[in-house]
Amino acid sequence: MQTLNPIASEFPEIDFYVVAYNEPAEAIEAYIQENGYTDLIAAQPVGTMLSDLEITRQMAMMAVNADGVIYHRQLMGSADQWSPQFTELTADPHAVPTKNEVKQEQERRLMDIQLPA
Amino acid sequence: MKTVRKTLVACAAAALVGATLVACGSSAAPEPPPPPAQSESQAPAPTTAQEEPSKTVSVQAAPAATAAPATGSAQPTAAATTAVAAGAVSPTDAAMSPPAATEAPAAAAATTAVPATEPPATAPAAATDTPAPEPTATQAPAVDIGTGVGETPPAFTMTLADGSALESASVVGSGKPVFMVYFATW
Repeated sequence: MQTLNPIASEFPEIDFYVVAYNEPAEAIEAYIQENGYTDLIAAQPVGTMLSDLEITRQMAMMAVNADGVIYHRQLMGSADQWSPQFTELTADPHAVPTKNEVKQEQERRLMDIQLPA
Repeated sequence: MKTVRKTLVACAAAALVGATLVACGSSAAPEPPPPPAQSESQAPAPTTAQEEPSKTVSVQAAPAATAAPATGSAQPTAAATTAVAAGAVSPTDAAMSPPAATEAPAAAAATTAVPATEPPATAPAAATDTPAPEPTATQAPAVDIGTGVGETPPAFTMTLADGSALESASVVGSGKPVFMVYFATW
């Protein structure tokens, strides 16, 4: 959150949700208010949301364009590495990933699934 | 004396008739042109342009000869006119070419009028061909539901800090890009 909030303030056209696995949204919101990360929206998954979205590891991120299409997915990494995707979505909210990006992400997820838990 | 006068008159009349015959023969026969051909070869285009009207008068006496080349393609006549202007044609050909020059514009106009009517006939056909692919382009945007890049995520629900439930329909595809980070605090 410390690195994500400054970036979220740079891209007001994008809604930034922080979804905690093991904490209620109230606790995350208290942490946000305590540290002044006011550009982030705290949320908690309900039901099978994580499994439905195939969120199998901690620190996963998902960027969705204005049309509801997943524009980018990534595991690990820090917020400053995701700035290019934010810039692209800000320039074109309806941007869609290229075929090469889709292929690379599929290969990356396949490798992640094959890794031992 | 009378006989002498009669003979003189007869000779004068014969001379006049002969002169007229010679004059008519010189105007109708195409053989005399050699001298003008030299002038054409030596003179530039403006001089030939001035001579052409005088030749057209003599050519009008033989329209049958001009009609024959006119029925052919217009390009040979145009080539003949250009050759005449350059002075590279024999005198006889030069004498025959002026009629072609007079009818060349009409033939050229006829040849240009035909392609002018043909392209519009082909253009609408191309215009009718292009609208056909458009419906297929409108049918293309269909996004699968999935969790991969380029797909629409399945429906989900989140709970906000105030306890309210937030449906994915109001988050994803609401006309604004969304970024979600999933993490744990331990």
